[in-house]
Amino acid sequence: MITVRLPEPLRDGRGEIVTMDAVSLDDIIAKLGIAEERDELFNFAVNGELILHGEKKVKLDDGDEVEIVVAFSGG
Amino acid sequence: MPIRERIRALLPRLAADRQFPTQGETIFVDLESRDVRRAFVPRRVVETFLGGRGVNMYLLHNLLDASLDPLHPDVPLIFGTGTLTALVPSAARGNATSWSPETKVIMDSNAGDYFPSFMKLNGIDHLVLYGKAPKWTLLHFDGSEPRFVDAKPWVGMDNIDLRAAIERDFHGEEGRDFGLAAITTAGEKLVLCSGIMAGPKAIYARGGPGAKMGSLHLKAILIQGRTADLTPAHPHKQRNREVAEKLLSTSVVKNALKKRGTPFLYKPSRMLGAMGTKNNQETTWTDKLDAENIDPFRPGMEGCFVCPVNCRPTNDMSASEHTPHDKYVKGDGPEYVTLGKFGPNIGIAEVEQVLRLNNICNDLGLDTASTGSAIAWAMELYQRGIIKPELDLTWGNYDVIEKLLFMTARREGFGNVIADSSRAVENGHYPAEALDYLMAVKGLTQSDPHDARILKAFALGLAVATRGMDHLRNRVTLEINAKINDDPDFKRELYGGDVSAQPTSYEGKEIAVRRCENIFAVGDAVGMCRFTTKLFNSPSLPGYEEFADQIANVTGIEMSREELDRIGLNIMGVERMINATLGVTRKDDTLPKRWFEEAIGVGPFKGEKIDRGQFDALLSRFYAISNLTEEGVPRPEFRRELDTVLAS
Repeated sequence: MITVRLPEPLRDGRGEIVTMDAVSLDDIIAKLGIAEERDELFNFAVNGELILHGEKKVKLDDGDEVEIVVAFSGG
Repeated sequence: MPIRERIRALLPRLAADRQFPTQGETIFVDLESRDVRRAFVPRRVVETFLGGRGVNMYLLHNLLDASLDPLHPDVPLIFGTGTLTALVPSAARGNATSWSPETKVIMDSNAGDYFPSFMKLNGIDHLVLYGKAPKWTLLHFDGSEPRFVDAKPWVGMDNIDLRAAIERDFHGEEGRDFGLAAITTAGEKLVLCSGIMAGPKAIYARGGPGAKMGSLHLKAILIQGRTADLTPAHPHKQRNREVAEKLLSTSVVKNALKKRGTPFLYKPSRMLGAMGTKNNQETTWTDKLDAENIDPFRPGMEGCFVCPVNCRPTNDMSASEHTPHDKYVKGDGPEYVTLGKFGPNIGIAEVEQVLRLNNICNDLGLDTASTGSAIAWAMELYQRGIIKPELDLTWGNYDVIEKLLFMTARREGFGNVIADSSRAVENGHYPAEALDYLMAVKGLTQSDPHDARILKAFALGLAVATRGMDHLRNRVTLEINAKINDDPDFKRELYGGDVSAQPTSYEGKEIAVRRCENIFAVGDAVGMCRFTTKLFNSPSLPGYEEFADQIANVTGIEMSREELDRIGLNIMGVERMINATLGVTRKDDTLPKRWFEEAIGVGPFKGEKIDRGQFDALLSRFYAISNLTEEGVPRPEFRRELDTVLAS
């Protein structure tokens, strides 16, 4: 089971934390139904480590914690 | 050549009449003799440098005597407003330009809120100030007519009291009736990390503008009324509506800037292990400063003139028991820069403490980037036993830090050292070995807290920025976004060339920095906010296409996207020409020693640092595509092209 922490804009009535079975980040996007909303503003962090590229190569294991982070760097 | 002779030589080369609808005057004000001259910037100069920052540089290039000192009254302080300022949504900005007393290279600082808009609303595109007023002066423009007012009643006032006094004494409300640019006590005392306040928080911050204005004995510039004829060449309101819609529908605006503002940036930097901590000795810090932890203290959001975004959080700690309930219990901000510089960078972990330091800096008119960096530098020197000041500069020693801000603004005790900012070694306060720990490029301490040892495009940008170590000139912010990095075709289209998907790679990063530097310079020239300019945090924000349309509508001057991109390059070119006369060479386009020698110690990019050889090659590639020589100055043919306009 994967724990996913969602930022406010992607909750859509869900709570901050949801759990699901998933083996990849694409899996999570599909199961949450956020393919449209998940634009370049949102990055994934897996077990606290921010993913900056190569999302498709990320394999998830049972117990992993995924967070979708509002990520921008110019302010 | 003295400034008055330079102006006499320049005036005949300027135009006597408006060159396009909505153009404002360039007004030359001699604060010593009270002589006032007026002219218009010629069309050819506009077509080469556009306006705002670009034309400011044209003026500085013509008026600067590099044999003087930056605080000499013959070195002008130039305010400029963008071509589209006050006329297009989110274009509320303008630049203050001079020779920096803090860095000794160009000073060019950008601010919003209301002052640049009131310049435009009263037909003033550029304001060139020089000469030292015989006594402290408030320059009052009632429309475009200046009046020299004895500033005695306001001297010694800091920002909160000053703005209230001006509203009372001039019977108006800032933002509705007037725009105000003013210095605080820190500027009067020539504090090198002081800025010119353009609002409760808005500040011309970087490079010591407060000190420069103080050197002219100018306390404030008040522009009152809305007197200019700003009838555009063609109707522009429909396109404005489209620009506003585009702004408000962009994810970074809709989901981040409008909600919490820039403090959102803290979390990704922290998680990345790229949060400058304790003068960049470490690179991560507590989650207690994540943006959501500021929510309880944020009553609302404020914005600049004609901006629908409203990205500036306000703060109110009245309900907190952990902070004094004095005039600093409320304020504007913080921005991410302040959160980082007065949080992790000096070892502070409590939200209320950061907010209070933010509010104090806003009142004292201190640039939080330079001041926070100068304090962090001192703290590391104290930690290493290199200095032994009378204060306990232990990391996170809140009470001392708060006290030190007031001492800095008044140049008292060790505050006199912080007031000299990055010049502390040159001015004899620290031994030479202290420079090994100074986090600065070209004398300017880093603007934001993001440690750039990981993202090599960020590192290159900080190294080559013409005003010094500042992310707002060229940062390839989208390098942090996985979705863009994982789409090579889109990334190629965005930057006009192949840029490696890997943030840690050096490959192609020169292409991305070049593209960003050009579009951001054009953004400054038209007066657009960086936060809402394409490539800064989003590929979907207004860019050349919208700028070109509205330049054509507002001025009647048609410019292609390619011509605008060329203007961005021209602005960089003239800035590098000025810097070259001030002694800047390739060796100055570098990074702090620490980033070459010490690796990141935590997070997913543990072990990353800057490789000198690869960085040097990257710098050469950047020069090559920027039409610069190996020394970082415009190549002869580029220089000739610029000289033709600069000297015409």
